[in-house]
Amino acid sequence: MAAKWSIGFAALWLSVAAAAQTPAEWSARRGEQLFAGQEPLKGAIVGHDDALPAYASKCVNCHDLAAREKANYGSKLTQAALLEAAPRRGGPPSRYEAGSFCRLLRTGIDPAHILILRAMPRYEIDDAQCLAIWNYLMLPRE
Amino acid sequence: MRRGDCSAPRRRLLKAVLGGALLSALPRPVLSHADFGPVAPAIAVPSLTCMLSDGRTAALVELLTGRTTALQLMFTGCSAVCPMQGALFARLQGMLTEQLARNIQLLSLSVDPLNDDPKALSAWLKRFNARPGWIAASPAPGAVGKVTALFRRGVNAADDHSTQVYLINRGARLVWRTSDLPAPREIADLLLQFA
Repeated sequence: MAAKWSIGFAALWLSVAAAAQTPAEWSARRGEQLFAGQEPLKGAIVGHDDALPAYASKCVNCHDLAAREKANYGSKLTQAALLEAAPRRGGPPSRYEAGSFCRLLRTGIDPAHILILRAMPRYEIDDAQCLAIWNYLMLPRE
Repeated sequence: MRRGDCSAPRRRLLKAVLGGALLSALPRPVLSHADFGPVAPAIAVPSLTCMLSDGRTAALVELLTGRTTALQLMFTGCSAVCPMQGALFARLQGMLTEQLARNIQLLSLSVDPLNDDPKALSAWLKRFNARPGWIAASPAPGAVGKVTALFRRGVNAADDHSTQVYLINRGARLVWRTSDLPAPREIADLLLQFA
């Protein structure tokens, strides 16, 4: 009987906690799951007929946010790195916003109109998924 | 240092020392080839010993002689591009069901022999559901420089191994370098062409 009460109370607490989250927080949470591959993303290498398996196209494979910068294969994806105007890939200074970030994920073209490495998959990603990842990356980190 | 780091200092040091010495000894034509496409004249693979996923040791030449081989460089602790490379070979083996293990083979060759022992190599093959005809091997630690020297033209600045695929003919000679992360269909066509 006590166990049933505990489970019921836990479920109630979770639903209250969920209801307390803002849409942006929900979106960022979804973004975290997309980033880590817990919710799969469909991505393919340019020129390939088929999408990569989800395990091979997870963002976290190349952009581990917890890793030291030089330990990552991919670019640094902190809030500051994305928002600050900086020269990227030999181009003029540029900064990301949600729209240019989504364009890069879909087409591989960065905000300075430079094509990124082929090793970065191009993703079939809808607006909500893309914004979710953006919101996740915009969370403050050390 | 996490296992997935693609820039392990130990590996870099090993390659720097061995690769530097071996590069200076290489004949000039090896260094003058284009980044991808045909390799003419074909280049004999270096003389070195490999450890296979089943624990056997064999000369690289012996592994490659008699079959046309698609060779990729990888290491099992790599979390970035190696999963893509593994997925690429997994797709490729599905296109070569009749030829694989008969006159064509796939070889995942590690650049991290200090960590990629037979158990790790075996797990790599299992992870991608490798069928007979897809083998994995690590060169002897002292021979990594020979491997990277032969395939050095494709080394990606952001990683310490190439994502190109190398076609080796039945005479154990390098005949083709693909672009980075080539499409499986492209590799299949090349393999059938050289087989």
